[in-house]
Amino acid sequence: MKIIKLTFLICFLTSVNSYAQPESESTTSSNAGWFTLGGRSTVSLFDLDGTGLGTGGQFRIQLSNRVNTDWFADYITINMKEGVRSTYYHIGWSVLYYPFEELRYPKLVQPYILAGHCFDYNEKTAINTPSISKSRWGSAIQAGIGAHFNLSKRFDLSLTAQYMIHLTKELEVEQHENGDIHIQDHSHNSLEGHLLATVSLNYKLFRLWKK
Amino acid sequence: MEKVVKPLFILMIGMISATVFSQDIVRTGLVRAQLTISPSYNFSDNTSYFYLHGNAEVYLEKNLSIAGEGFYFLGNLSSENSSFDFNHSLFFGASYHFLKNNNDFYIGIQPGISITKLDNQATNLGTIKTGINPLLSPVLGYNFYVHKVFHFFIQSRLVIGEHNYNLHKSLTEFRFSAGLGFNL
Repeated sequence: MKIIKLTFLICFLTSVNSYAQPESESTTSSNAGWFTLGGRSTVSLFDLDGTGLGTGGQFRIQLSNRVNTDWFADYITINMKEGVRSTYYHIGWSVLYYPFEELRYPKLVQPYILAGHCFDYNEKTAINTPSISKSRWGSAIQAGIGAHFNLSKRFDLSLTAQYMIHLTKELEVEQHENGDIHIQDHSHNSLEGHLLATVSLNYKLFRLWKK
Repeated sequence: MEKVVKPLFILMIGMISATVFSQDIVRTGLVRAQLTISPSYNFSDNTSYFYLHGNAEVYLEKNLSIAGEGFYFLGNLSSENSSFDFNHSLFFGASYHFLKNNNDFYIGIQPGISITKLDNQATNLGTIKTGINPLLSPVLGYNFYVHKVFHFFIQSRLVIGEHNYNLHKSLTEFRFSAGLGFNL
């Protein structure tokens, strides 16, 4: 009975994983050159500012069956407990590596690891006193894991979790006892960051080159 | 009289049903669009607002579509002053469709933004700033394709977001839309 259950489970998982595989392509063909365009939502977690929500977009240029590149922009806002709005603008890029040969496009589930760099702009503004505001430009690096869910030959939904470390002086918010808010530069680089959980919707538009 | 009308009525329903279900209306490349009034319920202030809701959707495959949607703020449904001067929103995302004949159930997810300004009379805050806020919206809906040109639709969505200009206000609300849509 256990063998039957196990066989059924294996058959089910195999059929699910081969669902998105079109007849004309296999994992051995080259996928280099695909240009993919998409939109995304990002939740910012474990940030000293608090939890926030962001909207953005990205395009990808695939370099080989194993390597893809992701070029993104995000707009994230966070409601800080001190009554301050923290707004992040991210613009950057990541390299995606698909480690499992048997789980590459066009398989349904395609896991990856990623790492990259981005420029970030942060602005902190007192919500009820907008004249109290300070901003800074910075740079950051990020790394994480994720998976594409190839729902069709050209369309995928991707989930990514990556930690981003800011390589710059953060803006500090101080709230005095009388309620006054003061925003200032941190005295030194602190390697603070946030975990970014992203859901993105992507469509392969065309191939820039064919190998 | 009833003896004549009843069979005719049954025949008519049968013919319409046969026409509807013999057509393969949902296909790759189908574009559907609609415009309707959409009521909502905001969970933070327990108020119902309503919007002019427009949508355009393209089927990339029979069970997969991408859509762009816009909600134009029209006011609240009660006689009290609205918290918002306006709270428009735009979404772009994808849906996965479960088709059976011309019944089309779907689930989707749409990132978006709101363009929001609080109402000065309701909030007494002086100078009010317009804010652009990120949104995320899971969508659940049903289309019934009755003709190659028309379909009926029902859509519900949860909108998740917050406005942090002048004062903090949650934008999280439930929206419902229904009506007649067009196929191209």
